[in-house]
Amino acid sequence: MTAEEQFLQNFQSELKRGALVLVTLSQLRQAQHGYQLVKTLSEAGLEVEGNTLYPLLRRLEEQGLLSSTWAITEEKPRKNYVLNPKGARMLTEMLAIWQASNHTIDQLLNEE
Amino acid sequence: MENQEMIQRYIYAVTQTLPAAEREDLGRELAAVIEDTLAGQGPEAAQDPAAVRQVLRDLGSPRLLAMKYRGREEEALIGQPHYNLYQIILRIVLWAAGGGLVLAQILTAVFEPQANLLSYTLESLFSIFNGLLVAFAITTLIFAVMYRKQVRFDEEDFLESLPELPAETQKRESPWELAAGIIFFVLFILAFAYSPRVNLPVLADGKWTSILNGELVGALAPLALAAGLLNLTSLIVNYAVGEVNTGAAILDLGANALGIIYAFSLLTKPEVLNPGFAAMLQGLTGLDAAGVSAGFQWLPLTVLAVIVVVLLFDSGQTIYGLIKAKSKA
Repeated sequence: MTAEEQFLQNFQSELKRGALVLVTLSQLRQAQHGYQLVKTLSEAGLEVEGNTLYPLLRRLEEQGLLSSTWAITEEKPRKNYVLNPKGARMLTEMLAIWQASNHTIDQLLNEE
Repeated sequence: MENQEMIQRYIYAVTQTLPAAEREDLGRELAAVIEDTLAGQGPEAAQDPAAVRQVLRDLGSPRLLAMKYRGREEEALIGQPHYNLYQIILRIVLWAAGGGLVLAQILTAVFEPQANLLSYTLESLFSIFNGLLVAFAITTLIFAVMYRKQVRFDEEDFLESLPELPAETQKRESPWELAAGIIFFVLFILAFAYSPRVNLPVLADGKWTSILNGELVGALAPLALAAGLLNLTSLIVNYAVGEVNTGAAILDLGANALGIIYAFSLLTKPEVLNPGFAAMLQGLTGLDAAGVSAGFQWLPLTVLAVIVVVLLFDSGQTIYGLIKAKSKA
């Protein structure tokens, strides 16, 4: 990998890292289990490694933004995560920050 | 190893270092995730050892995954907030300790002429290396504890701790004062804990001798070491914190108290002066032993009085600063 490719990869990783919590919370308005969420994000074009996402889900749960339940009615037990009221409020705030930042950055990038 | 056994062992390796209350839940979740991932690769993947190995490799080493679950993947011994100061202080400590140790070895050779100079030189080099290693370890330990206990630099008050311009009177502690303090306490530890027989050397009539009684200083070496280390820690913590806070003030007061206890323990003993030094004084003054004893008995007590006054003044300043800071808050 050339230095330029490495630079671009680092840039992409940092962007992804910054947005991952927001994206994760946004996708958990509907309950999903960890692997399902990895697939959802992957199908949307955002490749996230399981060893990053699974610990993140638990941390967000510890921080009180997600709730979890074991779905024992399925053939295999799976732990589902879903946004709780506190997480929903936080998501709204985060989206506002994200959109404001995007707006500012877009303006700067589009300046002649 | 069977596929299931490998998966179970992987899960065990991840969960064993986590809090007991989380292990079962996390183990079940990991098992489900691994099973789902294998199922996502096709109906035969769960039976394919290569596929199982790949899934586990993708999850990464159990130790790293466990750290991520504990939220500690970015843990460090010292950490970025303190690293720059650590480098500066480590450099000062190593130079002071190295210089002091070389001096101590040279003085020891002068005091006690060595029969085998080569052997003594090798022992000295080993001793200096050991001393540097201990200095490195202690400095690193102090910073590791500061990082662990989240001793913080007050970024909001950085305007209060900007270095003064050279032309102005320096009111706050400057890095040079810090360096001087570190050098003083490292030399103190070397003289009073590491080489108690040498302690404070003086040269008179071409002969070296120590001012204080080596046996007495040696007997108090653990107290000297504790007082020196506590003062060193207090110095670094107070500089790092950059403001008066309760923890740093308590550390400063404790260091001063231990310094006073040590000074009392040493300087109030009648045998505090080295007999060799007393003999030297006899030669210099022309007094007899009784005359020297009577004429110089004030010396240790005067030094003690100066130390006590200085440390009490420093303690008073610390308490005043703390009260002022609290009333501002």
